[in-house]
Amino acid sequence: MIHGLTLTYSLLPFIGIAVALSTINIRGMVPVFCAVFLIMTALIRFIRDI
Amino acid sequence: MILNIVLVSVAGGILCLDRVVLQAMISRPIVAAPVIGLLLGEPFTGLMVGAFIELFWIDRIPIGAYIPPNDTIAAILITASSIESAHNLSHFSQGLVVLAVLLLLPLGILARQMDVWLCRMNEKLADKALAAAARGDTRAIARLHLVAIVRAYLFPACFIMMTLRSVLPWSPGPTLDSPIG
Repeated sequence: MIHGLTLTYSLLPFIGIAVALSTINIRGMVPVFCAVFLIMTALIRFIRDI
Repeated sequence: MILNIVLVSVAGGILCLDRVVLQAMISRPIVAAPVIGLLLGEPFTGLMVGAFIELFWIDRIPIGAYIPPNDTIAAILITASSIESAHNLSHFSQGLVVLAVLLLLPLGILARQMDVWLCRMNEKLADKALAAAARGDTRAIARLHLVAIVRAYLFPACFIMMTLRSVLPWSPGPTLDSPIG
């Protein structure tokens, strides 16, 4: 489990960036960045498996 | 381990006091988390956690009667638990930081309830202070101010201590290198 969570460590700032963008009235950024977070995590996992 | 938990609780109480009394911005997660990290020997981990928590609740500002989630307590708990877990396992992993974020970030919202409760208790103190002012008892007013400050220190410190006590073991556990079974 810890190895899986380590994959997401470098992507955590995405969530913070999404909140920061929402703060400056660019609405709807949180779901978009969460999707990017999920896709990037899956990609990193896939690349590491190859 | 016990000494570190007590150290973090004492320092965390002082940092949280800044939200109410000093307001020198040392209670912001970007400052508080590296300070706790520095106390535990891992300031970089604290900086990373602090930057993330700072961004995560950046849109929650204490304006008017609104009380935001207690990001200071969340940052302190996440930093301390991830560093102490790494010390306990004799192996630092970035996954521990993510796990601590997932598990302990909601405690910032729980700590907000504690802040709300403290504010309600301060209202009672304010009523008492008004009564003391009507009597002309200035010593009682000064004492009531001190009571509020001591409460604002003790409650977060106890919250941090109890949470770390329940999250972290008192004694070092098996390392990742040690055989299982």
